[in-house]
This record gives sequence, C-alpha cells and structure tokens, in this order.
Amino acid sequence: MRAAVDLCLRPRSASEASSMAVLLEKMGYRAVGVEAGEPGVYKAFTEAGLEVLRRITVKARSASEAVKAVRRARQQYDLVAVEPHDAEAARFAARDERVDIVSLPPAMARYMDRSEAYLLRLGGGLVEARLSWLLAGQPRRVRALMVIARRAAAYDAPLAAVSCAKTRWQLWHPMAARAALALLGVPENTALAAVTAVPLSLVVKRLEGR
Amino acid sequence: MRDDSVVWTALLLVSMAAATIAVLAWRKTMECQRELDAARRIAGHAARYVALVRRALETVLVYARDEEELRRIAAKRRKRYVAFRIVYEGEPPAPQALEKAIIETAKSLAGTIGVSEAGMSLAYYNPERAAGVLRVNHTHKNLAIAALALTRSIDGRRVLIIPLRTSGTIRRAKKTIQEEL
Repeated sequence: MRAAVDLCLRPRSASEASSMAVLLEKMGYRAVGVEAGEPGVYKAFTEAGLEVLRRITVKARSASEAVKAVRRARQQYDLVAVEPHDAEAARFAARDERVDIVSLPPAMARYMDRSEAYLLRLGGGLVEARLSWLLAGQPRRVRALMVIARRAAAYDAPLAAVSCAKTRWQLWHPMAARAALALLGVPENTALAAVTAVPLSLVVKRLEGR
Repeated sequence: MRDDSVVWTALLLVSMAAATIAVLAWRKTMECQRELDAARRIAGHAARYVALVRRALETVLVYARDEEELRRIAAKRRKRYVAFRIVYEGEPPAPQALEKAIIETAKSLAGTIGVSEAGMSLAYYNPERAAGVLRVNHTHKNLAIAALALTRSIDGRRVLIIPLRTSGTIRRAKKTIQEEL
C-alpha cells in the first residue's frame, strides 16, 4: 500500500495521542493532520515517526465570518479547514487559497456540486469525507457522506477520506477506508487517491510552505 | 334572331366546356383517392410488420438477459481471503462471537440478501494471536473489508479489526498473518 495520510485527528489527551500514533504508524500512515488542545499531542505523533500538521476547523455561518476567521487561522496553523453553514461561505471556502479543506456538514451535502468542484480546483483545496459518520450509524449522516463522496468523484473534485478519530478505537486502516468509499459508490481509483495521493499532495504543499 | 342564336350557341359551348372540365376534375379526384387508399393500405401493412419485428426483438432481449443472468449465477464464484488482526481490550474475542459480529455489521451495510450473496465466513482464527482470515466471494470483497473495519465492539468490549491483505488463497493469507506477527 502507498503512503496514507489522515488529515483529521482529534485526540483527547497526550496519552491517547501516543496510542493512536503507534497504531497509525503500523497501519502505514506517513502524515497526519491533528486538531489538539494540549501541546504534548503533536509531539506524540512526531515521536512515532509521523509528519504532523497542525489543523484547525473554522465554523462559518457567512462568507464575511469565514474571511475574518481564516485570516487569523492561516497565521497560526498548517491546515485550515472551513465548515460552512451557508452557501456563500461554502463558495468562499472552495475558492480561497488560504483554505485547505472544505468540511461540509450533513445539511450542506448537496452543495458539493459542479461549481464547488470547479472552485476547489481553482483554490487548490479539497473536500473531506468523514468516515466517522459511518461509525455513528445514523442513516442521515451516512446518506450525507454518500452524497458528498459520490458527487466529489463525479464532478472531479479533490476528495480526501478522514477519520476525525478521537481515540484509537475510531481509527481506519487505509485499505478499510478505501473499501468503505468504494462501497458508497466511489470508483476504486478515486477511493485509493482519496486515502493516498490527494491528501499527500496537500501535505507536501504545506510542508514546503513552512 | 341571329344574335340570339349566336348567344345560345356561345352559351352551349361554354357549358359543354365547363361540363368537360368538371368531368375531368372528378376523374382526377377519383384517381387520387384510389392512390391515397393504396398508400394507406401499404402503411398499415408496414406498421403491422414493424410491430411484429419489435415484439420479436423484445422477446430476444428478454431471453438474452435471462441467459446472461443464468450464466452469471452458474459462473464459478472465486473466493477471496482477507487476513486481519484484532486490537482488543481485555480478552481476545471468541471465534463464534467474532464471526457473528462481523456478519451482523455486514447485514447492517448490505442487508440479509447482500450478505447471503457475499458468502462470508470465518475461514481461520487464532485467538492467541487475535488474527484470522475471512472468506468471501470475490464480488463482495469491499463489503467484507468494510464490515471488518466497522466492527468496533464484540460482546460489549471495544475492538479494532485491521485488514492486512486480500489474497486468492487461504495459504497466502495465513502466511501474511505469520509475517505480520
């Protein structure tokens, strides 16, 4: 299997982060995006031999709110993700070059359309498919995940599979993530790229910019 | 008197001409009507032939689809063996509980019929090493791997099942487990 990347991890503590890091390294991950409150968390992943990017998720109810938050966040974090709750915010997040990841909530799944895909390609960002929604088992969230993943594949938008794991029990092996996306209707090659090439290209871009 | 006879003669000639024209026009109309009727008859025959050909084609298509379906059912189902290992808390899970949990997860994904078509079963399991091999039909490999990944609890205890490799033979899958551990 090629080098896999998980762009969304949310460990609750440094000890949890250590156990996650060991498991991720064994599963073949090479880089991770971590949202953390505690400072020791990043170190736990680095010590396991993983490349770490500090991530923040900005919730934006409007484009103007998103602009202010992104400007602040870009200076402090390696990865900036925007969770838009409004059509304008979604479009802004897709086209702005400072935004790396668009994290559509279930209610906004249908905004993953041709225009959004085009703007994502222009802005150099990607849309994430949160596999934690599969673990939750709620039909509405699973349906939203299916819609986002299929539409991103159909409209040729850069798609990345993320676990958003808080504990090691919520992690996904790259093969399993790929199979889950394929089961949701994403073509096999796109599913493979969503676990490896697409997130890896973002990591390389951000590491070069450090 | 001479003027009257000229007028009458002229009138007679005009009426004869008009009558001739009327007869000719009527004859032409009748010819056109006959041609129209012939054209309608030919069109009717053609429509009936087209309907016959269409019914024949539909029948052929139905048979072809049935043939394809029967061929698919009769085709040999190649098996795939998915090697996996388990990260668990407490005791390693028992094989029956493990198989049951995986199949229940697969049912929640694909339903009872989907699971029946997949032909999933636990081919090998080593409780000491908490590693095993799942057998599945080749057409449902992704379902098996996703079911393994989504099984997060067995008998109330948390687990994480990590798929290692997919192989065409159980021997190769077991070898993968040996190498991994």
